Amino acid sequence: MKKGASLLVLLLAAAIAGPACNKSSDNGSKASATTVSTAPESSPTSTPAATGPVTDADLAEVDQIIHRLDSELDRLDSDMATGEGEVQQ
Amino acid sequence: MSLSLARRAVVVGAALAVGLTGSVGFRAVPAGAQQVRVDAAKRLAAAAITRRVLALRELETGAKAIARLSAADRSALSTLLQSQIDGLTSLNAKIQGDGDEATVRADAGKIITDYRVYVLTIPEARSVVVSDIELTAGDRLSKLADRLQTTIDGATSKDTTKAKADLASMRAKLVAATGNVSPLPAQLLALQPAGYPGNRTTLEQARTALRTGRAGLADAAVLARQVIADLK
Repeated sequence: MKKGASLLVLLLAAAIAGPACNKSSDNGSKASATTVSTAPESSPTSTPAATGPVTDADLAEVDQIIHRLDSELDRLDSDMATGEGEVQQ
Repeated sequence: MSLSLARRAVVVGAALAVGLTGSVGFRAVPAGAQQVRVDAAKRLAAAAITRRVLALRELETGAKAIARLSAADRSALSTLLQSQIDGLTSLNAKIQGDGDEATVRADAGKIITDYRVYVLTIPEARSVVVSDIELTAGDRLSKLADRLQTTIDGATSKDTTKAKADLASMRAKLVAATGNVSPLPAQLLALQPAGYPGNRTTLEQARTALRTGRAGLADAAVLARQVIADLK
């Protein structure tokens, strides 16, 4: 009897927590690209879903590539400004 | 009489010295000092080569991360960097074995004329790496555009006019960016040290195209966000 009551409590808790978690995830996906999220899909190292609605994680991944691009373009500018230098006295 | 003979001997000796050395200097460079100059020139050349080899190796690491370019372009970049590293390493060995200052100086000049590492190879290789990053970003954004299209198609109960227009702008930005960048790797990898400084123009044009491409990609990312906002 006690076991049955415990199971019922657990099921009710899961039913309440389930939608709450989903809602929380939705909010997380609306976070800006610079927001640090605990959700795995928002991690910069994770691969966003390849299908379904476009999320902030997808856009954050693109932002990350563009950031890397900016770094390399700055280095290219620096490279182009460099001369050969002297090799003889 | 004996004084006159002595004067003549000095004049003849001086003439001989000019004739033999081709200079009016009477003091020959001591062998020890000459060797010091040769050794210094060799050290300078070795340092110049080491700096270049290290810079090329660093770019080799970047080249290994290339994901989007064709196997041919990737291979051409790798070959370019490795051949310069090998060539400079061999040149350094030659210079360290050179026996006189003139030869060292002639070989040291080849560090610049035969390789053009700083003014050509490094910007060339970096531009190829940047091209790869831009094409990768273009691919990602194109896939996002496809998914946004699916979302628009599914939003039958909403007015999607603006979302469709923004998505069309996004796709146009992507087509322009990738269209400009796609031919760059092959153009850049065809540049040779012997063509410098004439081929510097190609480098400058590529850099401009890459900057334009970057702006287009950033605009496309902004438009992707706009499409999402349009659908809310």
